[in-house]
Amino acid sequence: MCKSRQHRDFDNLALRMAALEETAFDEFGREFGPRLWAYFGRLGLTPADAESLAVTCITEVAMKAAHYSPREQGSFMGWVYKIAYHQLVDWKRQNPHTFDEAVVLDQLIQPDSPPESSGSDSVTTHPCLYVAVHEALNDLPELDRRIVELRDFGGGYSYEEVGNILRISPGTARVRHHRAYRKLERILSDFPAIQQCFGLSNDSNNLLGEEHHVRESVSN
Amino acid sequence: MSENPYPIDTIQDDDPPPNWLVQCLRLASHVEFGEAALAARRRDDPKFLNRSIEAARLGGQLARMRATVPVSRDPLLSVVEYLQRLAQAASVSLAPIIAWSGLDATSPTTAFSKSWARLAGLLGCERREALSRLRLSFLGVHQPDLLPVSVRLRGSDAGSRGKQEEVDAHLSDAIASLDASQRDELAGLEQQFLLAFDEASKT
Repeated sequence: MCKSRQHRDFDNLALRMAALEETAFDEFGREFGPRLWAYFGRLGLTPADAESLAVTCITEVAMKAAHYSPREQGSFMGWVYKIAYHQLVDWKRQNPHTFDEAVVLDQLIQPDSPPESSGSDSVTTHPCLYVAVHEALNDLPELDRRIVELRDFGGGYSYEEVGNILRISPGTARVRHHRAYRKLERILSDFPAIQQCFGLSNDSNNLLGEEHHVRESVSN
Repeated sequence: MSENPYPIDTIQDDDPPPNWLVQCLRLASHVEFGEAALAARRRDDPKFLNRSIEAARLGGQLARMRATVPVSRDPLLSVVEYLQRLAQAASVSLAPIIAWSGLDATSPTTAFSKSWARLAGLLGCERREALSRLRLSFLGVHQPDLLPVSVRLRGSDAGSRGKQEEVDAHLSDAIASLDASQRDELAGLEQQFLLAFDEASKT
């Protein structure tokens, strides 16, 4: 299932939960329990702690589903992860000695090199980064989002392959991908977590800024 | 200003994205694919899936109870009586909610106070009303002769707001008649309650 379709399905699931439809809650638990467990596990919690926090989070989100508004809060998935992130921060505050920050950074950054500049609280910044990227992707037109997903999230398809999958020309795929990057740059550079994580100053928020550019990422 | 600041025909190959954006997308994709693999494995664990589904159902039951709060405002009910009323109105079982919230049904303690604050915040109860129910719970154990007054109030034709004020005034009198150690104990519980309620309401 493509991600945009999945996002829409989850938004619909939220509406069914808000309407107190019983099967929607079962579906939510089945779908998001493993996701949240994996999320907390990736962020350094032990399997047992990750399970406990995931279950707590599931109850909390299920209870608050009526408050979710796609217009105000973006995608349902992004909203769930925001709540999960706040739960993690609370958990971290209550269990400061059991949170292995080294493991978190290791898991998040490898196997590629880390960002050139990391903020002082990278553990809490990276979950924000993850949520921010998904929120920004949701703001793209569907075709542009799918191109980014295939190029940057789907194993690095070539423009020709992207064009074949989406039935557009490789040139259109390349240009739209480029345009999507510009929009993502504009959206993401406004997030404090992104600014902190990558050491962005006001100057580097300038979309036409010339530093730190990588030509190879948009060629081929 | 044009709706599209980056029309296709003006995009140039020599405008590559900044390195930070490429790094940012790369980090997010690692998290996503790492989690997807972990989550897929966890989906094969029926015990965990059942626990997740039960947790979601519990959230659904709490949501149903929350929906009944605006029409279940009797200010004379203690914490547990009130929860029983909400559960009945929402047609849900109270036992799993009591177990989840950690509310001790018999004697208000610090843990009880905090648990009630959190639950009341989640249910969308008013602060004043929720505090009043905590006091009623405490006085129900330490000042059982409150009951005749409660019965008198029950017959009052005042609206819920007026009734709440009447109950609060009566509770203040009843608290004043407690011995000093009991008053201190209740004050401590109230302080814990207010801190926890405000914290729960923030989230």
